[in-house]
Amino acid sequence: VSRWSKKYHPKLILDPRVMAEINAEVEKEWNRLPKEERVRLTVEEQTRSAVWLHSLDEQKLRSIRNEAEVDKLVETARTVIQAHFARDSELAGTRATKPTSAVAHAESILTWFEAIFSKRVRGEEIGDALELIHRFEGRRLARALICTKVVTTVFWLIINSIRECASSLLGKKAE
Amino acid sequence: MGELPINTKAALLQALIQGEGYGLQLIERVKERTKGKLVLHQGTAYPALRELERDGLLKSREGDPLPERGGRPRVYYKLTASGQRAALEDSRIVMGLFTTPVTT
Repeated sequence: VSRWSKKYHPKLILDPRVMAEINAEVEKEWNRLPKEERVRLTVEEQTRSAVWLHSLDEQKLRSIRNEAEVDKLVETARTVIQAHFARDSELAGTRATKPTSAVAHAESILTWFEAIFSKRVRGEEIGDALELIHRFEGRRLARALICTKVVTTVFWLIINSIRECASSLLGKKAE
Repeated sequence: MGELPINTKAALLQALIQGEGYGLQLIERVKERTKGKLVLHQGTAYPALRELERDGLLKSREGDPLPERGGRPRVYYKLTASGQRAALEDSRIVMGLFTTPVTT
C-alpha cells in the first residue's frame, strides 16, 4: 500500500487532519476546472468531478479506481467538501438568477408557453431546452443559437402535444 | 453512407444500458456513441421515451429542481427488467445481421 493510498483510505477520512489535507488538494484540483464547467454542475457533481479529477491525477498512487470507491469517498467527505464548494454553488445560483438578456428572454418566452402544455411535457422538454440554452451562454453566436433553440423547442412542443393528445383520444400510440 | 439500421427507440434503449439518464443526456449519449452518425431530435426522442415508458420498458423519476432549468426537475429514465431484455435482444439482432455466418 503506497503512502498516499494509506493516507487517503476512506476509513481514515474522518480524521480531521487528513480531511483538511484532502480538502485542500481536492479544492486545488477543482480550481483547475474551467469556470463554465463549475457553474454548470450541481454541488454533488462538483464534488464528484473534483474527487475523480484528483484520483485520476494521482492514479499511480491512489487506491481509488472505480465509481463505487468514489461513492464511498464522496459519502464520507460530503459535508466538509460541500462547505469548500459553497462558493461555487453560490456562483451557480447567482448566475441562474442573473442570466444574460438573451437567456432571460428565452426563459420568459418558454415560461409563457408553459401554460399551454401538459405538466409532463413542459417540465421535461422546456427544462432540457433551458439547460441547453444556459450552456450556449458565452459561446460564439450564442444569441443566434438561443433564438433557434427557442423556436425549435416551441415548434416541437406544439407537435408533441398534438401527438400526445391525438394518441390519447384515438387510443393509439404516437409514432 | 446509407441510413442507419436502428430506430430512435432502439437507440434510446441502447443508451440506457449504460445507466439511467435524462432526455438531453440520452440524446448526447447516442450522438457520442455513434460518433455523430445518429443525432436524435426533440421531436423524436421525447415521444419515444414516453412511449417506451407506457410500454413498460422504462421507468422514470424526477430529480431535484435545478436553477438552470428555471426550477424544473430533470426526468431520469431507467430500463425496467423487460426493457433490459428488449435492449439486449435488439443488440443481438443487429449483431447477428452483421456477423458473417460460418458455413460448414
